[in-house]
Amino acid sequence: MARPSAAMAENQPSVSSDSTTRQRIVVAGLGRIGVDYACAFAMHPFAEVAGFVEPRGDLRRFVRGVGFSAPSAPTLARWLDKNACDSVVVSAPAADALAIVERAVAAGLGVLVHGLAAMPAEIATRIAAVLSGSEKATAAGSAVMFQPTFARARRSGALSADRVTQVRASASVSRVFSPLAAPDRDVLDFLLADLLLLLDAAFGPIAAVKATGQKLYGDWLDECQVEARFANGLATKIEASWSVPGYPCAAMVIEGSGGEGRVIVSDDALEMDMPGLQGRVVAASEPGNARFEGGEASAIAEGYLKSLAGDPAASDALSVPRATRVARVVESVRSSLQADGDDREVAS
Amino acid sequence: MSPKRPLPEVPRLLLGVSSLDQPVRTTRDRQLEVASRFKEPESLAVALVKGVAAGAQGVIAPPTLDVREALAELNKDLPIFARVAHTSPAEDLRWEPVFLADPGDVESRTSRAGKRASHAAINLLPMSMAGDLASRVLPRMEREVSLFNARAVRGIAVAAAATDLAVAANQPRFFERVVRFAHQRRWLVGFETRNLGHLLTRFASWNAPYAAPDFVIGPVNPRGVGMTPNAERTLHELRTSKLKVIACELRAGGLVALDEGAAYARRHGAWGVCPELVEMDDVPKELKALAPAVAA
Repeated sequence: MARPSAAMAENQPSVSSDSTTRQRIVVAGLGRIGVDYACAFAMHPFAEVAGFVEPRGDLRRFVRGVGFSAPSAPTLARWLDKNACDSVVVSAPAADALAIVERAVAAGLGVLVHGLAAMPAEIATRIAAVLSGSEKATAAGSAVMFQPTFARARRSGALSADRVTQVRASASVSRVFSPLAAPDRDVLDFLLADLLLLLDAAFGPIAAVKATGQKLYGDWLDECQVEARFANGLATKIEASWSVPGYPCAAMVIEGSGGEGRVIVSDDALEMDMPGLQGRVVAASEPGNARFEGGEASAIAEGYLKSLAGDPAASDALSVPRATRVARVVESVRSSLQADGDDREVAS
Repeated sequence: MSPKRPLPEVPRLLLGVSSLDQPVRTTRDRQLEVASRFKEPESLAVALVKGVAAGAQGVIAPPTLDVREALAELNKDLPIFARVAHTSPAEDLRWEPVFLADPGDVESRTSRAGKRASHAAINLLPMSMAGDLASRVLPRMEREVSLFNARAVRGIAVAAAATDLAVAANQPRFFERVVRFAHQRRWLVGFETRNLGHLLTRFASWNAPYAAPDFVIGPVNPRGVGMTPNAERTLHELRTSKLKVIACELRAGGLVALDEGAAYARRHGAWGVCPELVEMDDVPKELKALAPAVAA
């Protein structure tokens, strides 16, 4: 994932201290992303890391050894027996996430689920159902939703079904060549889900897909091509590959054109050639969206605290229904791939 | 008993080559262009040797195969600051935290250099038995440094992933142990950070009695790009900190000229500057042009 930029203080949108108390955060799931969340919230003036939940003893020891002194427990229930918090960040594997979400909602806590869109659709749907019964804040975190140029494109209205009639999208990264590549991941959950989130945020829900894919370097999908039809009738071609040399971080591109002109947005830049929307904006010139830079979680953590303070853009970027829809689209893509490219409706 | 070899001077001008394999703030086209230009070890070797001839007092070099092959092309030693605790962008394929385990470089395990590296770390505690962050990363650092020619190594630059983890966890002991580890070997020690303002604030609050790092490396540029928590706070800390700051990301992701960024950083209190390969078109010419800006 491309790192978001940070810019001058006067350009930084800030969390309102009036409406935001210091959130006591528990991080549930101490993998790489969980540690990123711990860092991001630990460095935020309106948050504190109240504790950790992780069934694996080695990971709890790791976090304690690194220097985080907040109490930890193997389960959220055991943690809550002795401690209190305001929100739980669920960065656990999909198989463990549902139980944590259920316990957090039952305890009346705010919940931020990381990577919901890339989870198996059945789990994502069940998590969304539990979250829908919560009276507290609920959120689905993905760093791509805070990428500055795509956020600017959405704000400007250039990337919308009102302005474009043809859309192409692609996502590229170099990963399959790594010795860390393993059969439990593929290009769909690693990369395609993020691109689908951006497309859903710009053009609305996808209603049907038709997909082809290639397994080039192993037993996992390395490339895929998707023809998608949105509920509003717009059609798009999508390509995703994690076998493109020279891309240490993911490159996302969405191109749109229509009677009003064209727009190209990538994590590098936004180029617009439309009435009232002209010019080029580079990512580095956009205001940063995190006070601490480190990993995928920083911008999401900032966004979560902003959404608690009532920021509608941050809340929209953390939409649970959107992430759940995308999880279902990914499932439909898999189904289409297994059926040699047959059309597949996306379950609603 | 022979007197201890003195530590080298802290450099004012370093050349960074991490942009060849790490995500950097530049356009995709630019990153691909630079990666293509230095694809052959010979072309990277020429750039490095000319960079040093043009005034760079050291090269911050990650222990990647590409960089080591380039250095092997040269029949002279360049002053190296080994970028240690170096991680691959592909770490994001794994669920576990980056420094939980130390799988090592698959390539190096089978090579002569890799075996030398394993011997170098043999006296350190295995990572699985380690408790604190320093204990986890020191064997890795030792191994990574030993992949370079020992005569060439002037110091180490600890990667931002480790530095910023220790900053966020409020761990002065990590810095204390790494500094001691490096100074025992007569290496300078610097810490890269993507959160310069936060790091300088932490150090000021720790008021540590032990030896401080020789330098820290972090983003400073006229547009405030990458200066967390914000530009104003970072500049304030830069002015008041006792640490020597070597400024990087001078071009603000391509928004300003290199000399403008370097002059800005020095004017605001940076000890030195570290342009990256990706920030320059003509490495020797642009490094030479920075000489007035970095003069003490």
